[in-house]
This record gives sequence, structure tokens and C-alpha cells, in this order.
Amino acid sequence: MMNLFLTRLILQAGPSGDILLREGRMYSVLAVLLVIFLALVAYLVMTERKISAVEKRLNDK
Amino acid sequence: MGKILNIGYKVLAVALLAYILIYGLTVVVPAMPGLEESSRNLFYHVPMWFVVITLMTISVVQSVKFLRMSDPDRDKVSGVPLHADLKAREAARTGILFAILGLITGTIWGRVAWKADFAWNDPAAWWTNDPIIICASISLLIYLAYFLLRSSFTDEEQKARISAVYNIFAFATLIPLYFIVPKILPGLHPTSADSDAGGGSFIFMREGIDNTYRMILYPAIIGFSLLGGWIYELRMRWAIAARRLDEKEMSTGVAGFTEVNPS
Repeated sequence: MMNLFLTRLILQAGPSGDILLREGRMYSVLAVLLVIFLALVAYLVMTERKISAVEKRLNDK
Repeated sequence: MGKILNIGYKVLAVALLAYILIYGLTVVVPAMPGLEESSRNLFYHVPMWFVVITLMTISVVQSVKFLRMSDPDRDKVSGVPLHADLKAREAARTGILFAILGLITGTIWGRVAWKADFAWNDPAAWWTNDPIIICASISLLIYLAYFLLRSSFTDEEQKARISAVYNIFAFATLIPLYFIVPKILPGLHPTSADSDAGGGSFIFMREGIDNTYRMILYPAIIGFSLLGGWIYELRMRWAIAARRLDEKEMSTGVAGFTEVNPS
């Protein structure tokens, strides 16, 4: 999803996309994307922990 | 050692993806004719296909492993055959996810690069009859049929065996669809036969792209591949745990995981 959002953003920028960089708007966008990215990583880490717990329980039985 | 590697590749994936996100969006990239700022999409669209090829390779390897494990005429190969089938299924599933992402990012890019004059609500703006796009769509349909085939069997052994054979066929079609047909036909992609690269992989050619692109694209390929590997690993471990849970519950006569959670 983040990837799609990124693509849309870049493409919407079009030929004059460097305006985003010049005016510093890219940094707000980047901050939002970093939050989404960190949320994705946190989700993967939490899922990993849950799976490890299930595996441990299965091995203990 | 195994645990360090297991954590290490995930840390590397996060570091590389953070790098391509930050540097890929803020670095000043040299202009590509006709693409301008949209050329940054190279860092997010191209790696998707590398992930697809990697995951489909894992999938076919697991299918072959399953067939070898379940062949009574061969020497015993260690491991549970049905687990190899689950690994093949999950690798193909994750591969399909990245193929869909690759097609969507490509479609949006194509809309800007090739169909800029079309209105956004014109369906023709979102599709181009380019050999690579057609071949990628065909390959996606072939892999979707793999899941359709799987769903038509109830017997686990039969499902695993027939879908493993089909998976080998599906992987074999990837080679002409990704590496031969688009490179011998004229098209709009820079890897087409009539492009400057003359059917070659321009991203690896000395004159293909500027080094600024390489500094982000190559880590992006590795980063997204590791992310794909991570997602695959989680899906595969979960599928195997669910199967083991089912087996345990069946042996005790209680409803199994898939009976309680059919999805």
C-alpha cells in the first residue's frame, strides 16, 4: 500500500515535481510515509512474535 | 548463527527500505527524457519484479522438493512433504502480491509517461498494449489458476501433488514471458527490442542509467527482496503452525484450526 501511495505521489508531481523538494513539502510527505513504514515494520514484528509464541506452544505440547 | 542471520536480514531489510524511502525521495535525480520526476518510480516499480522472480523460484523449488519427498521410488528426503507444499503455496501467494503491486505501480507510471494526454477517467489511459505488460498479466493469470486448481481438490495429498506439477509448468512459462518475448518484440519499455538497450537489461548496462539511480535502485532491489522474504517466512511459518495445530486437534477429536477459521 505504501508503495502504491509513493508511486501516486511521485507521479502526481509530474514534470515539475522538484517544486515539492524546493518548498520543503516533500519532507512532510516523507514524515507521513515514514510513519506508515514504521507501522508496517511494527506489524511484521508483532506478527512474528505471535507466530513464535504459537510455535513454542506447539513444540511444548 | 541461524538466529543472528534470521534477525540480521530483517534489520537489513528495514535499513535498506528506510534508506530508499528517505534518499529516494529527497535526492536530486538527473533528468530522464520524458519522465522527469516520475523517474523516481524506478526505485519502487522495478524491484517488485525481482521479488516476484525470487519468490516464484522459491515456490517451484519447494514444489520439486515435495515431489521428491513423496516419491516412493526415491531415497527418503528429510522433511514433511506437505510442509514443502505449504511453502510452495505461500511463496506463490506472496509473489502474486508483489506482481499485483508491480502491475499497479507500472500502470500508474504508464499513465503519466505514455498516456499523459488522456483524461484520468478514460479507461484507455490505464492500459497500454505493451509486450511486457501483456506478458506480466498472463503470468499473473497463470499463477491465479494455480490457486484455482488447488481449491478444486479436497484430498491434501492429491492437491499437493497436482499443484506441484502445475507449479513447475507455471514457473517454466515465466522464462519466456519475462525474459524472452518482451525482449524480442518492439514496445515502450526500455528493455524492448527497439529500445536503446536493444532488448538488454538497461539497469545493469554501463550506459543504461546514471549512477545516482544505481545508488538507490540496487539497494531497493535487495531491500524489497528481503521484505518479500520476510513476509513469505511469516506466512509459511503460520501455515505450518496451523497445519500442525490441525493435526493435533484431529488426533484429540476437537475441531481443528482450519475448521474454526476456514479463511
